[in-house]
Amino acid sequence: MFVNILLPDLSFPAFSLVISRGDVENSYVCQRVSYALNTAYCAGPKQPPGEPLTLRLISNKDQTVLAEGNLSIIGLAFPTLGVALYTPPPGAPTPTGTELSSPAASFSTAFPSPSVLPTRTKPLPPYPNPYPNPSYP
Amino acid sequence: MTPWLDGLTVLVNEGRLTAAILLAVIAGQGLVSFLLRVLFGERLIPAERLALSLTGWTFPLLFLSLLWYFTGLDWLFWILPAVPILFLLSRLRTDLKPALPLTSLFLLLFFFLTLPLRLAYLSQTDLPLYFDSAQHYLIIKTLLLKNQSLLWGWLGASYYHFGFHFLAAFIANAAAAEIARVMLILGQVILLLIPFSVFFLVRQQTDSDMAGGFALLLAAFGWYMPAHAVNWGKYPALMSLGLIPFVLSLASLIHRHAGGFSVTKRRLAYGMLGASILLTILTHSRSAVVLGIILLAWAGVTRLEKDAPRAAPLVFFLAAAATILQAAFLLKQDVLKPLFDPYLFKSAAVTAMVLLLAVFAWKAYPHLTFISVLTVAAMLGGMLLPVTILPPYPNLTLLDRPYVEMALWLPLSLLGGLGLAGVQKALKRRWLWNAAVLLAGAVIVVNASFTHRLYPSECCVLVGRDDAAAIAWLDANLPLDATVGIASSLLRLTSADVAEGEAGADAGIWITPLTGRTTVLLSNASAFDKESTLKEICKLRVGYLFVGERGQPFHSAALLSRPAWYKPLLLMPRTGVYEVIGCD
Repeated sequence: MFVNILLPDLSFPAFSLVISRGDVENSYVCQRVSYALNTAYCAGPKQPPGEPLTLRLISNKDQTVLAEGNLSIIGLAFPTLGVALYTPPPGAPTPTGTELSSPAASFSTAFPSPSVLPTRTKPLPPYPNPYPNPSYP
Repeated sequence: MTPWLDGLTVLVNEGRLTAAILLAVIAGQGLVSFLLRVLFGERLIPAERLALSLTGWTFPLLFLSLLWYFTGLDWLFWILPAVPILFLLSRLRTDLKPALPLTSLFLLLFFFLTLPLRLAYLSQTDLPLYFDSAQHYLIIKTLLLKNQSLLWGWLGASYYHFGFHFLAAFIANAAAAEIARVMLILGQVILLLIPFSVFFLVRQQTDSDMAGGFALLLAAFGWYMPAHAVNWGKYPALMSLGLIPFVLSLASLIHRHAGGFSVTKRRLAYGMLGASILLTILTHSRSAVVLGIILLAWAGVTRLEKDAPRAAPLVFFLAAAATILQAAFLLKQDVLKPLFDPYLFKSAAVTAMVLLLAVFAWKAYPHLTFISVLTVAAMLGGMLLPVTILPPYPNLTLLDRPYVEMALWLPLSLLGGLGLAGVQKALKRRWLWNAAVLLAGAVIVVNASFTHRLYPSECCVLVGRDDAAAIAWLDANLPLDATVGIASSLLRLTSADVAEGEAGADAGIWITPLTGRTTVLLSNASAFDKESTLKEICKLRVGYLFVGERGQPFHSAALLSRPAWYKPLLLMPRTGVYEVIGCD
């Protein structure tokens, strides 16, 4: 499961997420998004829908509880084929996604050279799009 | 009050970076001010020198950033505090006049009051807006690697306007700050300082502080341009719009005063002018066209007034009529019609007031009024004039619509300022003049309160919170050599109304700048449920697909309808990352 969290401010300390379901506790490693200052995400085991979950944000430094709340994944929508969509509950932390499976075998956090440029290709069908969007709300 | 509070919050949260950028502004301004004092002495009053140096602050900073990049001397930024320190030491002399006359204080007050207003923009966005910003980010990141061969390779493959990027990289390196935040704050500071150029031009021409101040207000808040350009990520163009009036002002001053210069001073003056022209063009190549247009307008008007002064009014009215006809023609072109959105559809009252003031401007200051009108006419015409000498760009026109849309405030603000000074000359009674100033100022303030947005525009936000988290997840989990297909749409910029190329249409455009993964642009209308599309994707060796939360993303329903071809790796309500598993 993938939990996307909106943090209150920049001083919020490093933390991990613990989700309890009944007697079962699962820990989720959380990372701050370096370029989105108030955003962090946590990834870990799946949780079943419908059951009440207790979420706790635990400070990595001294294991104190930074935030706590209960929620259950109350809605699942299946737009086409087994896709989990649900209504996020009011208030933070707000889980907004589901990690469905582990991706590629190779895994690395090393940063490659940013000089790799997007390759431009011919699009398939044309799509009209005046640039920049003329509307000014 | 909310924007001010939001801006002050940003100021506190981003204090270190904002301080570094303001230090750069103060140092750049101080150096330009010193050079202006050396060259022109008391011919410029302190407020004029302050306004002009605030316009040209980027000029020495650009020099320094180039020096930093090519020498690798990281400590160069930290020589900047020496400028304000030396200035303060020089003020210790007791025989000097007060450093800040009333008009200078007004300019500084305007600066410090509008700084939080501009910074409020950052309170609602983490990344700069639109797809251009992602390119700028990537260039700045490449510059920070300080690998010159990479830069030259890049220049050969895809030319871009570099001035803003060198400056942003220089500051990001010195302040050890996140590139996106540097772009955002630097962009807002540049935006804040651009209008000071108009104060100088009007004040110099009219000797009226009030007219200069009015032009400043008009340039800053009269229309939603140039402020809206930050929503398009047009940072280099925005920076060039500050440098163009600086070059013009400097050229005008040198033209007027160089006759009395010593050889050394003349060399310094022309050296400074030449360098500022080069740096302006480095910042944005279209600046060369705008500078050329204004130079031609100036030369033509000067010649006409000298050789056929009686014909000048007739030619002026012909030019004004041509401008109106061109505008009427352009209004009928779907691609170019948005040009008038800031000036006719959203701020018609301000534009109408400026047109009325232009009559007084023509009466009192025909020379500069004529040049301004000719410049507008030529800029509009420049969008229709094809440039066929550049084979890779068959549909290129001399100027493109976004650039002209961003730049039209400059001649219009000049006309407004000159016009108000013209009103001052026409009105004999002081109270009438005061009433005119109050009325004109009120029109701007009331109009701005309805039309001027200080926060990111919904039109151009491509990255949502889920997108930012998904890209971070993608960075941590996809292989380094992964190729990700991202949504794109076609660009239409010129009067030719043909596609100029493709541009990223959702947050996927940020994947390469933020994670270094290779991305491939695919039409956002791709029919992923068709086998032909899968074959195309497989041919391009696209291993993953990214669906963004905002903008014009791929249709995820089509992806989800083919589980044998596309495997969802990460799904959020709208954002998604898919692995392409249907290739042989």
